[in-house]
Amino acid sequence: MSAHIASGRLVVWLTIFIGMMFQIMPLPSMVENWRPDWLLMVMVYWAMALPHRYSILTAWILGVMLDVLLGATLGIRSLALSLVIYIVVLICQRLRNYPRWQQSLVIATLICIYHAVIFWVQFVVVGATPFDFNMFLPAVSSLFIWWWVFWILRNIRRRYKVR
Amino acid sequence: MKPIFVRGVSHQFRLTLAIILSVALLVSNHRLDPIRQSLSSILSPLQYLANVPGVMLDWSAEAFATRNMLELQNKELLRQQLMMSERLQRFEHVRQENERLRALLGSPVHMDSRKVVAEVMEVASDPFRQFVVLNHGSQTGVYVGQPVVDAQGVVGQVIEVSEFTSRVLMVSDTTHGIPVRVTRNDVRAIANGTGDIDQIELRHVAKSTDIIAGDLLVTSGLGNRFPEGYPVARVISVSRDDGQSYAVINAQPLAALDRIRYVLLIWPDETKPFTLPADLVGVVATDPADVPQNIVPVNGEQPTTQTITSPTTGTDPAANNITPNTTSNSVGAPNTNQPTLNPASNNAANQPVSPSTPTNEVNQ
Repeated sequence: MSAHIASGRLVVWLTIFIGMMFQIMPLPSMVENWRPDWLLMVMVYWAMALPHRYSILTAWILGVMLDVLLGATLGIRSLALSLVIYIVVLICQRLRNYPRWQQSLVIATLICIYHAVIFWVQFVVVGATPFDFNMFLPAVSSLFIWWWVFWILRNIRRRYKVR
Repeated sequence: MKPIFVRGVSHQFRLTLAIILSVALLVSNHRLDPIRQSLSSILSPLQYLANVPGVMLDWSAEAFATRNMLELQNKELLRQQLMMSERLQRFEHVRQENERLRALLGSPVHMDSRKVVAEVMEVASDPFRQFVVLNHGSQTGVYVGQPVVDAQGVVGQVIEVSEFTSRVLMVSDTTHGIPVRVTRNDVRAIANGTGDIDQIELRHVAKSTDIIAGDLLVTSGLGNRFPEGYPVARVISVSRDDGQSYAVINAQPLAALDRIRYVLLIWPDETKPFTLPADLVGVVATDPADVPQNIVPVNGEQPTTQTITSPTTGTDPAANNITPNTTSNSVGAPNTNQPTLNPASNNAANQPVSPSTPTNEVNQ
């Protein structure tokens, strides 16, 4: 039994690290602004499916790691990510029963909140940065990619019986 | 599987804890550099891993290059190499001359500093920051504040070093400022990033300052961070609006910040004597031990040699050999003995050094 749990944990962390890799992968500057928030989507999926195992504090740790990797002020993304995951944990029962397109709308909204919080904290901590609507572009691309992310992660969860 | 009642602490408590921890991190951010550095060293394998697709793309582009493409590239590189070596010959001559003049002025002679070619591994995915991650870290000797340039101009400076990677803040970032000088008339200014990758601005420049569109901005060496003389940007627009208290000057960075792949890390303090590439040593005529002889007679001879102007020395047949007369003439700028002659001698002194008159240099 314990070996089973350990393997499930390994699978979850593997998907999270793959998401993180996609998040920091260099992209051509043309599509750079459209990069979907892979890590956030993976984290939202696990928080939605297993809120008692992967929730706010996991998100906080991942946020700190992302801040280090992106060279941002420590704490910005950990704050934003844990806020978003808190919302997900609150509505996870409903979110699971939504049709897929409605889920992706909620995800897009969450990503908008995520980026707005990042912008706000950065504005307060780093200093005046010009407001740019480009920062909401990831919400649009994630809207279309969520379907696939959900499908892949659900298959992984069922295949490896992660609980 | 999922319990109806949440075990352990409530979600609200976890959120509060997360927020408090985040705020603590934000507040104590400046004191966390060692932690950040070690974390970033731990996470750097992830960065290398994320770079793999790009490396594979590069590799496949090389592996599938056709013979025709390689031939074209080879031809182009040969042509460039020829142009460069020709320029290098002239440069070598100018460098020696400059060294002599500097020795006469008592200024420190510029030495060739240590450089390392680094590859860009990651570009900021954050639209508000402008930086790149390089594949060299403290193992190579990279330090915080180190200048980074590419083939065209200054890229930025290192702001964070981990074991095997380092992060470079680009000149276009809003938090970056670089002291610059206009090459045309030595006006000093500070170029700040605007957050746009192809634009930097000069702030707090008086409206009467002589800066026009097209001026080249180079590093001034003030501030002791960037070595002097590296090109930074070209002024693209100057507007002197009556409603503004200062002139609004925009410039475009010369380094191709949006498509950099390879950059140079510079160690300005670790100098080594300048050495020519082996194939050029025979081409460029050198005059050994000329510099020390010239330093001695300067002060004593200044009043008498002040009247000699550069046109006469320009026709001097002795090719590389700069006589004490001409060199001390160039020193005329700081001379206070004969103020009336200063402007003339100043002009004359500037002429041979200027790169825009190549024929003059060859004659010298």
